[in-house]
Amino acid sequence: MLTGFVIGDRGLGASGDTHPFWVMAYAMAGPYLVVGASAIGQFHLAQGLPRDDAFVIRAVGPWLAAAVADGVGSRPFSRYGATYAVEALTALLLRPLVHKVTPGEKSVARPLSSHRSRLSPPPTVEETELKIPVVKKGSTAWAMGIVLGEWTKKVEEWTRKVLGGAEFSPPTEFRQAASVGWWTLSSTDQQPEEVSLPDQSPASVVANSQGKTADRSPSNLNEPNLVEIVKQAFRETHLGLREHASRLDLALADLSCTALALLLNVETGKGAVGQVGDGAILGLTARGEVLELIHAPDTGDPQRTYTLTKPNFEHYLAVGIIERPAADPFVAFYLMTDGLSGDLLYSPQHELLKDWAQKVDRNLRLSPSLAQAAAGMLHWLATYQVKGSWDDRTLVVITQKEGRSDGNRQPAAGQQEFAVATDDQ
Amino acid sequence: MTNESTFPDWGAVQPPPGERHLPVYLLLDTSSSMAGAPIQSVREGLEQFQREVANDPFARDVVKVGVITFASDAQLVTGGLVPISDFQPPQLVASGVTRLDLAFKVLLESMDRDVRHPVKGGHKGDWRPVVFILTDGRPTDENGHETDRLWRPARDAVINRPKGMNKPSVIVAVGCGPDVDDETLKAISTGTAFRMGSDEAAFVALFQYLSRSITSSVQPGGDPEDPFANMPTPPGLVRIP
Repeated sequence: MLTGFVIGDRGLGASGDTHPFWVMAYAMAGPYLVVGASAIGQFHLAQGLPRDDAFVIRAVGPWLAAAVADGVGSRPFSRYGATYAVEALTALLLRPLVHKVTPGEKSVARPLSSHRSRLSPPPTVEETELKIPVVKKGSTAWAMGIVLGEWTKKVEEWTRKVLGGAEFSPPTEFRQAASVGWWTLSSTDQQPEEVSLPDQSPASVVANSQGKTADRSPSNLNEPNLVEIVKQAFRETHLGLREHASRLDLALADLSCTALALLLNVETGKGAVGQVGDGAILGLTARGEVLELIHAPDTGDPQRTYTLTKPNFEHYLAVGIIERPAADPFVAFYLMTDGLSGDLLYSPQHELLKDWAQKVDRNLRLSPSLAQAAAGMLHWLATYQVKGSWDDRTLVVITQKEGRSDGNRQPAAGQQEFAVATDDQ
Repeated sequence: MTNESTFPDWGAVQPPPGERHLPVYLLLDTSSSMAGAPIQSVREGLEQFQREVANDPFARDVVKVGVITFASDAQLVTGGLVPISDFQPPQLVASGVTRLDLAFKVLLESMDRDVRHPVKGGHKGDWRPVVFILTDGRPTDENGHETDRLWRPARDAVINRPKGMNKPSVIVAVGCGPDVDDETLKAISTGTAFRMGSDEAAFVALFQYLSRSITSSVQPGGDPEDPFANMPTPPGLVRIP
């Protein structure tokens, strides 16, 4: 059975504004320690303005999706866009992968349908699935519905095949799997079809160690095309933002926000990233190098940013795949909004950026508990001082706690010292 | 064996050093028609502007000021961009004609020399400059004849710059006294223009307004096209539609 979690900011809707000034979240995902924190900027705090940043981290089985977004300060409701963007992006990144598990792994997890008219969740479970808009023919939501409808149809066909041609009927037990759909609980009378995934290899776009991209052809058509999954997630999130604005009786521009997302298989270490607008996604290698995983187009103006709400956002969408040599793999990833990246990426001394990344990574892994790791990072984000740096700051760190060969192995947060000794055997 | 602590130390985590500044250019008309009480009021207004911005907890760390006076000639009287805490309002003398075109040329030179463009892996760079122009009449040529022929191309050279070159985020034009022309003021600005009286109270209101707009401009993600968008216009200042 696949399990999952979703942590971070709650989506904001017409029912009210529950966006806190400070938020932190933490979890373990396979060998990775996952910590996110977001702090309101000093300027917003002094002016009584809300935090405009948001983040969500979501996992199902071996797949982890994280997203951060920054609602533009000139739009008073941009946090509604930011929270929606991270919610939708992380869900949409995982959906195409939910019934695909790692090679040889058996799973009873079955994506059944997100279509409410066919499949209602049990009343005892909070419903937090991705909001599907009420569709009118010709609307953007209608277009989204086609995509989801096709997905639903494929799932139902697959289910019939598993059931040996029997008519599809909703199972009686469900488990919510990180808001990406509803899942059957483990059942002995429904033997699952074994789903295997070949090893993933780079798809069409590869971000190399310099962050530049190079074209590659898929070596296996059956493997998930992570680059395309990321692109599609951004497209559908853009469409969803349009509908979200309509539901809130706002203009689309009122929800203007940047968006950065990372999709990672925590078992293989492979994944992909996407970015529209300011911010940064960094990777720390086992040898201590820090690389910017993707270089999104820059306006060249620190007061302007590209946003996911623009009709031509795909022109500014940068997508890349995570790839490193086996001898020097990534051991940690950092997603951040520009409130932090603006303080990190402009120094000519690259050593200082490496020092920062290594210290953050080390602090998180040395923390006595996950909660203390997250609290320490949140406190740091909220309080470090740089002149002219008053924006909201958001950081998600995904750091490997096991199997590292970087010579800096430390007990992970919440892990006793003896656990490290065991690793060394 | 290592001497590194086995406890987290967030106090040791520091971003690389680097500051971002907000350049504020004040282009002040010091032609002969400003002689007397108006030029005195401008100087007092500058002192007030310095006090208020320097006392703002956000603006004081980032604002740098450059004062360009223009009459028969134009000069950057501050010599460059000066941190607001170090800014000393200059002595102003009113004489000559109104060569706004020369002021734009000096502005262009200073932006290229004194404003840093952000470069990843290089330096943090500055925000785009905010430009205020205060004048009591229409721009002239060297003989004092009113003309658009000189200042328009000079202004366009400041605004229409290639990507990657420094240019203002906003040019605000303010006209004082009875001889200002709304249409010309609007054309000088990038959209935001005001007119006002030439009494002392009007100058006080103007410089207070400028101080507040500076704070607005440094807001992360603020609207660089119009820092006055959500600010009520104070009494004594009339926004030109």
